[in-house]
Amino acid sequence: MALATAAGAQSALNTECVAVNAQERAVGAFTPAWDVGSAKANYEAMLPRLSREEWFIVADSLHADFAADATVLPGSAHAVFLAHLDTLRQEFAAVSGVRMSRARATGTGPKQARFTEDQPLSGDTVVLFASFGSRIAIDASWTPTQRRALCGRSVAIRRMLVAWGQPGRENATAALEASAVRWDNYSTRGYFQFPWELAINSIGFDAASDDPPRSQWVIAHPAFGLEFIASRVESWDNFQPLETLTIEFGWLRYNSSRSFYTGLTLFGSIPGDEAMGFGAMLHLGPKFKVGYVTRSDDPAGESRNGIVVSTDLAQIIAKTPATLQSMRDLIFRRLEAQKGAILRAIRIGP
Amino acid sequence: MPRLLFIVHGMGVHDTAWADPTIAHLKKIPSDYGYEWFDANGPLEDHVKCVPISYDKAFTELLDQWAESADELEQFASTEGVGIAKSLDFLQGASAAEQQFFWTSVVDVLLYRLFPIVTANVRDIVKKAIVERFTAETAAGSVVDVSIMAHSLGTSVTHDTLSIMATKPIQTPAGPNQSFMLGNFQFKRIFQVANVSRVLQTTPAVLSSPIHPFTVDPATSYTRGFLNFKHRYDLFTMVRPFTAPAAWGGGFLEPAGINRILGFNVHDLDLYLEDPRCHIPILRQLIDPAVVTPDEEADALDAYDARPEPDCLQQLDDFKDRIDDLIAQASTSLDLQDLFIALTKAMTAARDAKNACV
Repeated sequence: MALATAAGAQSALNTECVAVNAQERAVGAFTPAWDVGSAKANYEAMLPRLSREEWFIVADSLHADFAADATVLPGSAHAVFLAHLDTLRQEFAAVSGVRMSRARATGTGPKQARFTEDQPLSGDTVVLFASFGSRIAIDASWTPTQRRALCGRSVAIRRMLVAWGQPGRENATAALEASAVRWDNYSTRGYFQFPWELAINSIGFDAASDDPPRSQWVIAHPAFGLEFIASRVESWDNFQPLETLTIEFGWLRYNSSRSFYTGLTLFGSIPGDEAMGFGAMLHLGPKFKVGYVTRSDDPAGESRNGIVVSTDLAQIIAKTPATLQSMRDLIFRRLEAQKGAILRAIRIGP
Repeated sequence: MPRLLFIVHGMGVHDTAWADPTIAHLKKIPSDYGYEWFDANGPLEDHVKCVPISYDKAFTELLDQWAESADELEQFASTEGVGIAKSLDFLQGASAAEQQFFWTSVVDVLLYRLFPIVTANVRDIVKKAIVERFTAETAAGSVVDVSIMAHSLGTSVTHDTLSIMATKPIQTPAGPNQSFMLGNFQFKRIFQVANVSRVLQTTPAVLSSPIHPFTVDPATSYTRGFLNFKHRYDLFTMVRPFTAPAAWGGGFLEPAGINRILGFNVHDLDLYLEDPRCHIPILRQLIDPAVVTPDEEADALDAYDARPEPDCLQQLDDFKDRIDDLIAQASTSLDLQDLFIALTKAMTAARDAKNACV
């Protein structure tokens, strides 16, 4: 690996032509030939016009200034650099006036990486415009004057384009922050998905998406709730709802922030000491889920239809903390005890 | 700070402070090996801001929800054929340590690769971290060079995320935003440590994506210089290994000779970084070729190569033989399931060798 240059000293090329090294070096920090025309001096000269949004005027001036520069550069470097300045000028012209604000907000218009320098992994060379057609390779054979003529401008222009792109980057950041909130909502406030549901909902989902899915299939989703069957009520004073296991199939739709969802599921309800029933469940966000269960009448001809509510909703409507605690304990004990049977019951396939 | 280095972790549990030891290690390397440029010009942190990225919450949130449901996943996988059945069958007879390794580490790979909703979440976390930090750094109007170092699963996550950033606008209220697309943004260097991006690749494939150096097809190059680090006994890198085409030329570097075993978990990021064959190219490419002189490089390699490997020759040879066997088996397969099995066995081999050495 012969990557290093001579004994611990940055090369003049890296010092003068690599933007992160050159951009803040004050006038006077360079060899005398650089005292005028350093990247820092050039960029600071642009600032008054840039602050007035006169981007095209600056680009036009840069083109005219370089066209008048009599410095003799190796090969066709002068013509190539002038052509890229002309392209830059045209790109700014295309987004001047009323189009400017939108272009800056969306990162369109001038190609912001055009004046970014490239360096091979070894050797002492800086390449300009590698991705934009005709390129210029600046190496150790260039004189300080020649380097100044190009790098003093290219680094300043790279900085100018960083400033141009800042509103677009800030908009992109804000959009991704909003997406992150949606992902958090989807994870923490969405309807819990078992692995098989996550896999099914992932089918066809674009893994390059900025946002979580807007809808969700509910497939063989086991949940626990409380079922109220009117015919079983003998006394409201000591009435105990039935704990029930529901197996749901349906579809949910999220709001734009993924903080709330609505949907409808069809389900089978399997209470502990009652016949299995079937019904439909309305979902209104993570806290509210209510369904109606139908099953055959009992031998006496009384209806055994019931209302199922989610355990969360039951917590809301429970009258006292003690009742709530007791109900929760009961449900959790039941859930734990029945876990194996439930999983066998919902097993899909052979 | 004009240089940013994003660091993206691999599989396993990584909280928000996961990178502290790695960053501390990186900062200490110049003094450990006597790279004098840093004495004269200030420590690493004066030149490079290291920014860790953690995407682990995309997995932990799910796994927490499923904490009581490992058997459901197994049931689901075996009956629904999502491609992990063989791995899970293998786990039936696995030791507790192998099972723990599977559920704390390999499952990250599985979730990332097989559940596109999780995949998208992970990529968005990484994308937001990069965009947010870079935007904050350029607010003062200065040029900032951005590089990224990824490890293990992070190499795949990084490849995929950067490919999306390069080619897909970010949707904003003002319209599709191209600020981070090709032509407007690029990474100066990408350091892929223990690169598994090829075995986990989806679309675009790793050798036809914008994640290539500017020395080939420069108009579509999003990572201008590409460095790849592969340890001779790191099984993770041997199943469908990442191999750059010759056409990548001078924009690609994969140092040879990374083969010493100073710890049995040769996949470990810090063990990679300790090797001068790894950290010297990283330091040079991040800052400047001059930060480590050729003489210092030779001294560092001598010092590193003189450090003793574990003092239990028989176990060391056994470990190498077991890894070679696994590599031979794994290299003939293109199957993700075989990778999961091989990885778990490799970790077991490392643990057995370590225990036997004590």
